[in-house]
Amino acid sequence: MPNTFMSSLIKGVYTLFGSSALIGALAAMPAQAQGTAPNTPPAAPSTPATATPPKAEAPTADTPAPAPAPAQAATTGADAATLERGAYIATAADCVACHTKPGGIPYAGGLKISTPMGDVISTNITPDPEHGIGAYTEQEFDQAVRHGVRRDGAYLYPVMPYVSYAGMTDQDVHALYLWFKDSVKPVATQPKPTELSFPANMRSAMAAWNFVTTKEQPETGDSATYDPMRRGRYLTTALEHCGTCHTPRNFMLSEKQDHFLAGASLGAWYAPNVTSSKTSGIGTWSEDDLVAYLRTGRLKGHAQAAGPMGEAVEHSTSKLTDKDLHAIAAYVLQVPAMEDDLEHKPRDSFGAAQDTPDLRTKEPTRIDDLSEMDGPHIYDANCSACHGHNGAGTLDQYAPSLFANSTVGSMRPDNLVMTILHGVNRNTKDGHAGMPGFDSHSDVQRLSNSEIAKLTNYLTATYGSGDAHVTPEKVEEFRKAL
Amino acid sequence: MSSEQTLSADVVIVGSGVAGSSIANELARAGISVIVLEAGPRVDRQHFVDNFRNLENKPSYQGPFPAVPWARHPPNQMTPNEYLHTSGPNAEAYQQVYLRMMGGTTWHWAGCAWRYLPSDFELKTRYGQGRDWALSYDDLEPFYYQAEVMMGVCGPDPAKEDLGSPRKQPYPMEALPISYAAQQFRKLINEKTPYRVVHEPQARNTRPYDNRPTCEGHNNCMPICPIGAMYNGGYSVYHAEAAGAKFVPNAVVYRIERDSANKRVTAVHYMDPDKGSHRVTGKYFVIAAHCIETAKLLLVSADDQSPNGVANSSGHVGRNMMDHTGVQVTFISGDKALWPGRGPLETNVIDNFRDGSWRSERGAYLVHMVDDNQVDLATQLAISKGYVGKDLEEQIRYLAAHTVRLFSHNEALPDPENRLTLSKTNKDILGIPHPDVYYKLPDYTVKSCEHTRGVFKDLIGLMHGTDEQWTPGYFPQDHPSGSTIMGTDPKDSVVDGFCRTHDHENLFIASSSVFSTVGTGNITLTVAALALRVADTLKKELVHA
Repeated sequence: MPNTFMSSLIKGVYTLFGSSALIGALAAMPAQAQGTAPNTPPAAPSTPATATPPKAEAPTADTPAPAPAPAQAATTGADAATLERGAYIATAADCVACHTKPGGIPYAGGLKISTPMGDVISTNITPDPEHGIGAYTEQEFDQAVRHGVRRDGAYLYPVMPYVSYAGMTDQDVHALYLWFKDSVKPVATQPKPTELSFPANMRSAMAAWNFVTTKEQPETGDSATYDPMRRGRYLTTALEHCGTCHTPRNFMLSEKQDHFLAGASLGAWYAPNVTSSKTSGIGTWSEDDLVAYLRTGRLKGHAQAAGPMGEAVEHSTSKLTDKDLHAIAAYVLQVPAMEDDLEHKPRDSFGAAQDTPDLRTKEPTRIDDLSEMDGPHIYDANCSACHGHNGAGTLDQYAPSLFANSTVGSMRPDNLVMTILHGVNRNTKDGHAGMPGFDSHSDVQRLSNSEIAKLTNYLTATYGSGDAHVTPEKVEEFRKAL
Repeated sequence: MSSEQTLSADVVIVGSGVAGSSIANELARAGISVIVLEAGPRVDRQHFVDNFRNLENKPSYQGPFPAVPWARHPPNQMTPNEYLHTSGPNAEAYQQVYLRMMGGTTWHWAGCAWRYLPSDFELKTRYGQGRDWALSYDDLEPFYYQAEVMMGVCGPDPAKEDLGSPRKQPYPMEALPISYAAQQFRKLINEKTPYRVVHEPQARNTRPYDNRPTCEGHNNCMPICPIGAMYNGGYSVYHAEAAGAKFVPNAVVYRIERDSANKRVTAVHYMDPDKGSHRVTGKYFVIAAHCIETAKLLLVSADDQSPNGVANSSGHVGRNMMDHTGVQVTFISGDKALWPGRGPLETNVIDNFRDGSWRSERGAYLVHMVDDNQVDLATQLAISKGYVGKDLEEQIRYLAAHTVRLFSHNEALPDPENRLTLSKTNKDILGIPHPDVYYKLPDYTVKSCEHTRGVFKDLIGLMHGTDEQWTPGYFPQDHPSGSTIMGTDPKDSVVDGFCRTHDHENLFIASSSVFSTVGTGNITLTVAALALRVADTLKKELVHA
């Protein structure tokens, strides 16, 4: 189920764009824009298989998007090595994450991304001449990827992370261009146009923002020949654009380069501090630890990726070479330590196995008695089947332990609440990680705001860094955020 | 009883189990307005898991579901009770259980999702026994597949393991891995007997499916899958609601109103728990209320127009009650430890007794090697043998690892004398009579059970078994069927091949109650397939109207 969370991620970032600071600074946005945040839900969940007339070859509730079709006739005459490089760059830059709607054809666009100004619909970047980028010259392609300027001269919304991609080398942009032109199958479909209230004004406002914001400086030479640290920096900052989520932003909503990877809220999910801080970041992790996490989405006894990070692992980091993962890890682990204002002990260092209290009575309740249970009972009835009566998870940690778990141990319960609401669905070549969500669409169990608050507080108190004191109202905010 | 409120929809469905909810979902997705009236309450999983954990008697799979007084269901299998009162020579063999609540009885089934064999639909033609159905396997095949997709059924590759029911598509999911105990059982049977052990098709996820997780083998399918890996009708209720169907819980239908010609149903009436009466009108009506409750409702609706009950000009409503009455034995294997209880409850079946020329003489059956945890039984046995202290612990360990449980599903035949009637003495708090069932096992079934006992004895010998414990008498398998039997002749059947009642052109029945014979597999997939065929008929008639 690709891209479910990407829209929330970007919504989180762009929630910031609704702030008066930006509006004031740009002085170009019509006043109505502040009040026109249509609370549009993100990309629709994939249709349940139930009652779908049998037609698909492999029926499923959430058919994964098909792999990109092999090239039709090569049109560019590009050599195989260049195309291979281009494909790898596309993976490392995770283009597919935004340019594919759930269940859609890769790169054909159509993912709805909610912003306070309205929905941005990702575009078709297949080489279809009419609906995609088939008519783009390489220079026009480069203008879009590294400078945020569309072929017709309009400024792209910075939903497109060109601020990061600006750091790409000429050679890699060239390879990426040729790969898109040559190896991606053209799709002659037009995603719905983005319908913001004042697109023209916004796009010109972006010109002003582009002028003041900090962009990556383009790297030079052959990125494949960089030494590991330079390669790691290149992958981390330019291609994987880690800072887009993990770096907090200043009042201009540009990434604070002096707080690189120090952690930021995405509105719902929280992209944590992943600096080398041994207290607030991941400074206690080894290079191998971080490689394992990026390859599989989990580090047993420490952390798991869900939400947007789960997607980044699934679509991008799990597909990188070991050498590149080590380069990223080595680079990230030397990023200057930044201390967090809340977290002063590693998030994955809290808690121990602890049995649930004795909850048993001898009387089953009547089937219509759906009265709300307390935290331990909610845990027992919904979580313990997989995570264990003592929170230790399964032996193989498919269901992870809840102690020594960065999601539960964080002082910010954001990701714990979001995981309870939306579950985990992460596919990599190392297998699938899944947990059902417990939101209002769940078929497994629909938990109320109050139940989720109680559960979160029970978990953080029992296995984490202390009772998070989440309120039902706060859970409602998280529920609405996606 | 006053009519406080009138609801109306294109299609009004009584019952929200797998049959009613899947029809509701199909129709709602086609833009047809649907109301589902469920006698029991809205429910959720977490309270059932909590109830199960609180239960002292874990094998009581009805235990976590204490009924509401306005929609009672029987308290436990093989337990005489004053709700479903049974009588006759084999009264104990009809002490069935079911659940009256959102999603119905599939909350505690074991997910066995067999297609019937083509021969099951032609028992009379092929073997001179029972009846033929008013439809063929081929008529139902597309709906079997649709039901498998809807529920999420896993099963073996037909090229490698042909289960006898021709398939146009593979199973939606790969077969369950066979449990450790079943692997050893399978090896033994395949090598040492003329029989074979096959993967049982199961409505259980072997991969994430329909936003539900993969089965983790909690061994807890009955009474409650704790993680939602196994299908239940509640999911279809959720999906129907999401598609726009209106679900009304605690709505006990007690009357089916017809037009003056008695040809069309005009409304159903239900009572809420406070006895407030409500009238619900529609263009079409589907009774999908379980075999026993469906017949009960048709009989309760008797009035001057239809003194024997609605849809009952044939007099066959409530007759022809059938089940897969079974034989059950547990014993201690003298061979290697099997360690049952790891994985889903039922993953494997001996299917050699599903069909053969002998069906002209005796009923077909399936043999399940049930893979449930045997610590309870092992403990009782060890204590009864006088073990104490450390020896007791060792014995429990040994016995739990070596216990084998076998049971069979033996085919019944439709016999009009096996009959459901309304209790003359017992009524529920709404004043609706309880169901009474008279049951005498057909000789056909008795002979089948005798054959099964012989096979079980052979298997016990093969495994050097000791400490045999045979469940006394005959074992109800909770597959009641036949109470509104299907046929081509309105004089001796209640519904036609499309599950439309012969008497009322806009009244359909979606339930095992329409089965003409009980078939040779668990009934649920066939119930679902028939229901989806009803939905197909309704869609055609409503869309073309």
